[in-house]
Amino acid sequence: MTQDLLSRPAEAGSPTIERADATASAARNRFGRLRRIRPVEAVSVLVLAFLVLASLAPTLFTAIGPFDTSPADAFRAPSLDHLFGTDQNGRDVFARVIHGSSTSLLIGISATALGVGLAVILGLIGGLGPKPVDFVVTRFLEVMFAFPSLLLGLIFITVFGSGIVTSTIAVGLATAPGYARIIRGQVLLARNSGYAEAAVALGRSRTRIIVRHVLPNVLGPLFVLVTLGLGQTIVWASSLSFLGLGAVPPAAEWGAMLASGRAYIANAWWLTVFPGLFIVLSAVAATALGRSIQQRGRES
Amino acid sequence: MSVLTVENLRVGFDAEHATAVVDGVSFAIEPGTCLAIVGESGSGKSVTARSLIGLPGKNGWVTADAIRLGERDVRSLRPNQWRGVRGKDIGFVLQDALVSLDPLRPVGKEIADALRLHTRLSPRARRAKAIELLDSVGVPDPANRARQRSGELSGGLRQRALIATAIALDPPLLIADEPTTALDATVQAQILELLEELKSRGTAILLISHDLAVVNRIADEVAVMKDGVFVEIGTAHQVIGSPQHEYTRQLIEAVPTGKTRDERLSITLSRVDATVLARVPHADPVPAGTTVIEARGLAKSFRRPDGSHHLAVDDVSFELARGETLGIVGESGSGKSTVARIVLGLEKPDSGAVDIFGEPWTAATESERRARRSRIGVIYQDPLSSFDPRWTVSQILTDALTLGRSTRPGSRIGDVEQLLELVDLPTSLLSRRPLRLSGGQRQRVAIARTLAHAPDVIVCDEPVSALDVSVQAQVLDLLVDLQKNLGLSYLFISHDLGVVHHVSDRLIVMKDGRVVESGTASDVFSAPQESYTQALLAASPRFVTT
Repeated sequence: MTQDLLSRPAEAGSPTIERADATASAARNRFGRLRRIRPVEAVSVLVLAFLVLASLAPTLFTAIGPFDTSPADAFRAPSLDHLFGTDQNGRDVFARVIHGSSTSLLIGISATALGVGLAVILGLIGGLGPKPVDFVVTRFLEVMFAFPSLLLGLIFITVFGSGIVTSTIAVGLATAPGYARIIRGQVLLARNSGYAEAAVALGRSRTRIIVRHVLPNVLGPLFVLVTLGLGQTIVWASSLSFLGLGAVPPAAEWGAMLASGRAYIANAWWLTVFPGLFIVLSAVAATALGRSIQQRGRES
Repeated sequence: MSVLTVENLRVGFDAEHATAVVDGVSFAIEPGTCLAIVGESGSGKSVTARSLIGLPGKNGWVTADAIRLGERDVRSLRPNQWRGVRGKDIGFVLQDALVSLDPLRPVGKEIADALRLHTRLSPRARRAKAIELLDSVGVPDPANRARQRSGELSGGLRQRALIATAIALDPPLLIADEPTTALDATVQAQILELLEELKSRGTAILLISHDLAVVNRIADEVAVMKDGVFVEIGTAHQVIGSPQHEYTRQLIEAVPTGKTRDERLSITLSRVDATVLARVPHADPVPAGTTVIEARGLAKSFRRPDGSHHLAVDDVSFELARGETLGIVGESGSGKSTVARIVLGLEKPDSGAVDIFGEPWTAATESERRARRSRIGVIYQDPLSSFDPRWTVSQILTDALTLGRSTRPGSRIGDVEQLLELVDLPTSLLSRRPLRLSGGQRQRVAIARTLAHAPDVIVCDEPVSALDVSVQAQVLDLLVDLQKNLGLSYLFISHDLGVVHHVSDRLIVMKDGRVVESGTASDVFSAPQESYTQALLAASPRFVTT
């Protein structure tokens, strides 16, 4: 009698089965899986798309302006008229959150872009430059690492003053060392790889090897990091605004709204919950999407 | 009574139980005997072995009419019951001891672990027993070795330590999955001797290997596996002496040791013919007999982590003529790969020089070399790492064909197809990435890439040592064909004397960076002068009958 004995997931990783037809079907399966969109990805993309749309065209979602005051309507709890309630001046919180998404996303995206841009330059100089240059870059990065990232941002703001622009630069600077170190490592990996050496043996010039092999292999993984980092930057930018170092009230920025709503947290919870919810939502969506892409990269 | 009885074992990885990777395998092993399962990658031999210790792999299902360890039916064991069986009733030895042993723990601790899980010995007694076990598997100075981590041990010692963990509880059955594949020939011979000794002590051994010549040494019974079934099973003498199945004959044919270059190894005929070759890019013909590479007194030393110098290559000289193959044989660490890197101009020698076509090569600057690089090609041991993982086969070959000139993508497709034809690959592979190719296909793509720029000489650094014996046979045949038709010269580097003898006109034997013996391939092979060469030759797997 044939009996089924081990039809449960085994404890160890899967063995490699390298038969030609098996490989082909495995490839098909893998593509099949790639095409199938996971629920997490769908939700993340929807959330991000909604936020982007809200930043580009906030009037699509609300007819009320972010600064329209109506003292008579102050401290209204969430209702059908005011989805997220109103604040101390009777401003509609939903309208402010929607209008605020452009500021928050813009700070997040430009800070990430700045950080990554700086990191690419540092990482490439370190990874491709001669040894003494690499030494200087690496030591510099280590010094930067010695400070907690947010502290680095705070120092910058202390020196150059607060405001949206400086807080964006501050967050960008704070994230750069982390990216730079990863990029430098990737550059070294690609530069010393078998395929780079094979290209040398084929008689390729250094420039060509860098452009055709090193850069693409470094920038691919970077895309994932950027998506992952976006969530973090949004949180940091909001934190700076919350501390009054970035966007300042009455600006409709999530962190700033959180700060001004804090005074009324006991009797008007909606002033803090909804801006906070949007910070969390955008950060989680970006992170989840980044992880998802990362995982796919690993599988394929 | 049999130590292990398996009847109609089926293993698969699909949810529907429709396609089995192992499809109805039956065998039994008696105490003190060795059954060897021989087959190529993907034949299902490793899956068979893993199923027997309850670890078929992710999503695996296993069915069988019987799997008995002694008297005990193990088909319906739960995971925690399996843990009691592994180590105690079945010892398992994997191919690569470096990944099987924890790199951060001393090997003595690893062995003691097995004892801790299954016995009531005190820590002190466990330590003593671990040292005793290391001693019994032939590890010299076991008390000190027990304190070292796996990374500090050589490949052979590491594999011995792994075997020591597997036999720590004296299991009646030892399963060894390719236990010697990653090892040098002389070390492989030692490990096989150790397994033989275990067998004589009464342990039953299930040996998994792709190499018939290896199992020939210790197996009492041999099962030849292909596509999940045993195509032939019998005593080693029967199966190897008078193979009944076509596939078994093919595997025996594929062993290169003791065969000259004109004897073909693979039964599959290569499709390389004159019409294809005529269209292949050719370099300016170099007259026969011209010296292609001349290396004089090469020396290279590397700094060790502790600051001392290690002389990797010491006074190595040789010449390579057009259309000739010079073999370099040596074990890991003998400096042969460093020689290859110097010849390729990837490493600068400390002293000595290499000339190519009578012009200075290592003495030239890289930009001077670059223009002439197309005349010297290279094939690596691990082709996968030599391909950009993001590129498809088509991109790899197009890039090699354009040789620095940027060409519109697609304009070279005709030439790319010709290249594939030359190395006997279907054009359907063009859109695949190297990761999705089999080992043999990858090596063929690597050869095609090298041929793309019409080299006069190709440096082959262990080109077949990562391949199954039968695939190795096909690749060696291909290299021989190409040489005959294109007049190529090869600098052929390998640890396998059998392979080198098969392809080479002349060969040099290297040990610790020095040339210990050189001469024509047949002289060195039939009458080796140095004791080291003799040891290498004795360790090289071959059939006693041939």
